[in-house]
Amino acid sequence: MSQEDKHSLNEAPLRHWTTLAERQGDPAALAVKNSEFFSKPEEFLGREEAAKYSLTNSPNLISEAAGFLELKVKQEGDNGFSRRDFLKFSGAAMVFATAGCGLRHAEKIVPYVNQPEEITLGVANYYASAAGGAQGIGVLVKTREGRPIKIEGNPTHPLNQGKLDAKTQYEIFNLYDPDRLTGPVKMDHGVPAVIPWSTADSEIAETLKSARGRIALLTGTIHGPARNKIIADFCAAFDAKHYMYDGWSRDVAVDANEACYGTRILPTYKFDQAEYVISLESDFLGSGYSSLEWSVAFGKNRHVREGKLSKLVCFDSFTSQTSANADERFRLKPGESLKAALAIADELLRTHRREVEPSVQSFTSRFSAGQVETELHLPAGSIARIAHELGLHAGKSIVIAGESFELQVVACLLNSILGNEGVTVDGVAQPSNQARGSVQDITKLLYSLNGGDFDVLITYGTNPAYSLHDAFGVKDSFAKAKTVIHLGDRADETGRLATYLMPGLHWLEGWGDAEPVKGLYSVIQPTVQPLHECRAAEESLLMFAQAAQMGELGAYQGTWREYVMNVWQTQVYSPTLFAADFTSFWNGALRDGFVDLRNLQSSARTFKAEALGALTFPSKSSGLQLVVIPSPILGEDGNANNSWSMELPHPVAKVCWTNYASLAPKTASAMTLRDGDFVKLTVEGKTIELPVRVQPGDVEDVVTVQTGWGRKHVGRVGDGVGGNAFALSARGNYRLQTLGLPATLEATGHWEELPDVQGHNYTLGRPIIQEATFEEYLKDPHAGAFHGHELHSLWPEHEYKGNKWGMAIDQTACIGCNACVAACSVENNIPVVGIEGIRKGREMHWIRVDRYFSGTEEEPEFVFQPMLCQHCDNASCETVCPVVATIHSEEGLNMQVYNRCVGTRYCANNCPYKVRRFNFFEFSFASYEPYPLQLALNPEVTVREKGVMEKCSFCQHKIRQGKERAKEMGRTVMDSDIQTACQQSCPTGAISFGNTNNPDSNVSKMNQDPRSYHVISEINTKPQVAYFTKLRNRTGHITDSHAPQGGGQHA
Amino acid sequence: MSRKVLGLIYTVAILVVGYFTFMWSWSNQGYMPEQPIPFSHKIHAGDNHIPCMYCHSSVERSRHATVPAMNVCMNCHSVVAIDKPNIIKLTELYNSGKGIQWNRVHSIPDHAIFSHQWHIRKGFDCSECHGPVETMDKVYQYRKLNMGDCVTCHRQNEASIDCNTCHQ
Repeated sequence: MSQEDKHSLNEAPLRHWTTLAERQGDPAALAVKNSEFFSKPEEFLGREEAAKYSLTNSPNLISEAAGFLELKVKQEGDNGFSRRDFLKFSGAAMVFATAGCGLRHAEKIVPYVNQPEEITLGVANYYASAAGGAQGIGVLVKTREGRPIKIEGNPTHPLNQGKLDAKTQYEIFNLYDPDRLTGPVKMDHGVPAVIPWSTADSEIAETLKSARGRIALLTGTIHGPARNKIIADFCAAFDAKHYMYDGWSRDVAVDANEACYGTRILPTYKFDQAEYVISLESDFLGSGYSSLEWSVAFGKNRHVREGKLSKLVCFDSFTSQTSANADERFRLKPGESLKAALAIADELLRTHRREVEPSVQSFTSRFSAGQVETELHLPAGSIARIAHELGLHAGKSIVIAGESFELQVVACLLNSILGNEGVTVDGVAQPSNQARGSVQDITKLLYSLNGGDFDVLITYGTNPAYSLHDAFGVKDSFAKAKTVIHLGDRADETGRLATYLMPGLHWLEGWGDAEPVKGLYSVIQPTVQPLHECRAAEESLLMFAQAAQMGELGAYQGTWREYVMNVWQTQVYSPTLFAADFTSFWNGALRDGFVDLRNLQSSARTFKAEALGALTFPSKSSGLQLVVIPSPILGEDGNANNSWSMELPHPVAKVCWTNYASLAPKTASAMTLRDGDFVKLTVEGKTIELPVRVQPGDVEDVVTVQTGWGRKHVGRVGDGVGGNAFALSARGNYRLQTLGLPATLEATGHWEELPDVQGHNYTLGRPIIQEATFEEYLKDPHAGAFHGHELHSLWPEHEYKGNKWGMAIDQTACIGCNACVAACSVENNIPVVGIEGIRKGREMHWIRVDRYFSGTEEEPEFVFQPMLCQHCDNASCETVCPVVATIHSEEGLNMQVYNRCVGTRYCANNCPYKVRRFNFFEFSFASYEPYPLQLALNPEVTVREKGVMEKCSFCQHKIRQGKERAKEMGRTVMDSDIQTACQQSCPTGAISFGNTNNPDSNVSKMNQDPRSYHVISEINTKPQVAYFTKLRNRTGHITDSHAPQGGGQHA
Repeated sequence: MSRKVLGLIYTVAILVVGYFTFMWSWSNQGYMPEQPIPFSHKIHAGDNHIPCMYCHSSVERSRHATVPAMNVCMNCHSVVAIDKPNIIKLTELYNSGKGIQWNRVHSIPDHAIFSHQWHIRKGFDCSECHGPVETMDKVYQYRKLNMGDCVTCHRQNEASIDCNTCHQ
């Protein structure tokens, strides 16, 4: 499609659209689009407002922010809080304020008694550590005056290379979660009683002593030499058995590797070496077992360098973050991609002969390309074309599969045929430990419990009572053990089945270690004193053994910290490898955050043809099928009581504060369902209720639901939000079955507005995305560019003598993961507004990732566009502010002065990018209550109050720190001095920031790139954020002479 | 709109104008609170010539000059003047591990950021803002230290008066 005449205002039809309603011309959507404010000002603290927040609403859906208001409303009595009351109160407040002016508010200063040497008040300390989750990510924890305030990536860590996903960044709020247990609790006939640690320890020690040989230990994925060894030692001391289980256990991948290669391991993938990636029902960017590492590595090949760009092809039955990033996507029913993949294998074997057993080809020859294309309604020739492109990237590609044993086997086959095995896929030298939990393990445990084999069960790090559906009978099985000891940090679903709740620590508080891939070791070190009277789960194991004086562990004289050090001394440290003594080695490991002893020389495993014999093919299903997927936002279950996580929109659906039943537009209209209609979703008699999301790009007759939601007992934020999709999954063959379960949908007649943030920020239909194919780009670097006019300003231009700050964002590299949004929220004290706030368009995120569709409703393509304040040279907001609260700095920043702002919201109205956010309530106050949530606040950034406007400041406090650093060194500012929060966290490095007055800065160079463009520049705002044309690689960029002419046609 | 409400708005408007007029000239200049231990800067900085930075040690490294931790006091007072009642009180507090609750003299609002580090590095003497501390038995606020005071000085020294110099 040509772009020439697409830049003028209100010209239909738009190439890029944001919501179905917008595309279909829904009158309500158009009304919103044309209204002056998304939220109408008369609603501001009106009677209606107060009524809506009253307790008649489902309390579960009300956020902390709303909770605060509830309190206020209740205090004012049943009449609500009218405008008149508001005036009365504000008048009174002003009288008091004026009267009180003369009285100075006395403040105290309490200095340290003995100041720790490493603390300088006002200067942040960083500690290298590893995130406690299964992915074993390297992090730097920023602390101020002894309290952690931000988690950042460790720039030298080999897995995440300084980048960090939204999930891990938001874990800072889990540390300060007010719903954590604050001390041990004993359940006495169902009545909780607080008991001291010493009593609990001695009681438990007695119980364990007498139950020797009849003790089971159930954990989630555990890796790290010390964390592994203490479990082994504990098991030896008490003759106990250890079981590992995760909600998303990756049994299918381990089983497939065993079937194909004979070893039960999880492979590691080297996406940085893959120029061609095929995903078979896998959301590896959003929810794989090492998705952050993969996103970082995948991003390396998503920047056009030396005329190269990688290609991602997806065969999937659900719309995920990965499929939204696909250069080419084939929408298939669940299970159908198996045949497509086998047909590709067959084609490859015929055209690119490789050393595999001949029996493989005799198997795959049953799946000829033509036949499979007809059966699956794929475009003719597409399989052969993909196979051809793949063949040209032999050894430089990856085929990765999702949660299906069959697909995993075929992915192994394809990787072996292509020679990726041992090159981009490593199952020998550095197998992954990131998902060691197994459904087989928990099934065995439950079976043994039912058989009365165990008297004592100790659990931590996993939550089977939530993630296993009722048929497993977790509750009954647990009841068979006389004593259940829970070492998790809260009384969650599993914790509530326990006799003793011995609360563990957040990983920021205690010692631990990690070994995410073989040979890569990290120490988890405490960055704050435990906030409550709690201790690490491993420490509890040690103390139990010591109290019971059982085995070697019982005889161990020392603390958990010393234990970690001892294990590291014997298992990681070796004097031959490290020239230093152990103390220096240990201090080095703490400083660097990791010790890299990986074997980088991998070798290929040999594919066993008999693995193909184990393949079963799903029978053709005509009805509705369910696909259960992990939430890319909440993780398995960790962040469910975290308002910030709840409010982070899903990367593709842009829905927050709930999960939903995602349906294709055709399927939804056939059932006359629309967004927000509640449906009963039933699989084999198990039912959950969820709102519907009509998702362009979904496959017809498939309903997709995310797990992680629908918690019963996690805390005041997460309880009862959404539905538990784990309840619908099946577990045949000791494996998780999540793809293509036969399901039925039934409308309940109930409707609630879906909290959807896309569509809140219409930009009046101005085209704001430049897009081209990679092939067009190679012919003409300006491909897809808007053709604007040279514009002249009536005003004199600003003059920038020193620095001038600017940003450049590569939309091809952006994978829409929201890590930038999370980083910004934590850095800049951005509050949450709750589900009602989101429905009203009051979200406070300073940066958002806009998701645009192009093409048809059935087969749309996706573009992500991070949108933040553009710091325009000719800013529309600055000219309309009646009190000059938004002005331009000498360095090109568009500044917001909170104390001047009187809340007219003219600026937000006049901003073409809709990036300004208004505080309708004391959101910050409400968000950081109750104690200790406010400890997470960043003291470098002012906490905004009710009635003022706020927006992205380009992290001006970080700019200041960067300038000071440069000044200290006596030089000008360099790119490395200043990294904005969003830039720092971006896994794919899509965001660059720097001084555009310096021709050597990265941003200046990017501004010179022919792909660089500005959004809505036709109104002469002169934005300082440049975007790069989104490129789609249609042909896999085949440069060799065998390339088919003319490229391929898109499906 | 009833007359009552109009009247209320009118009152509020007057109060707002009055409030801002008052704030315009408002400052804590001269504020001199009592301290739990009558620490005398005159004895320490004046008579004994102890340099400011001996105690306010992070003034060059941080935006806070900081009131010294008690172990800094004990550097000398574990041997010096140990028989004086106030030093006995200090030693008792130190040994009990409880901090002293000093009354803050200089306080600027939380939304304003003042960096001691960069003013000291630029070569300003402490006394330019804090006055003749070495003569003060009891410390008081010497300058206005309100926004006007900051801006005037920044203008005179050709420092940036962009809002985000002090507010972020």
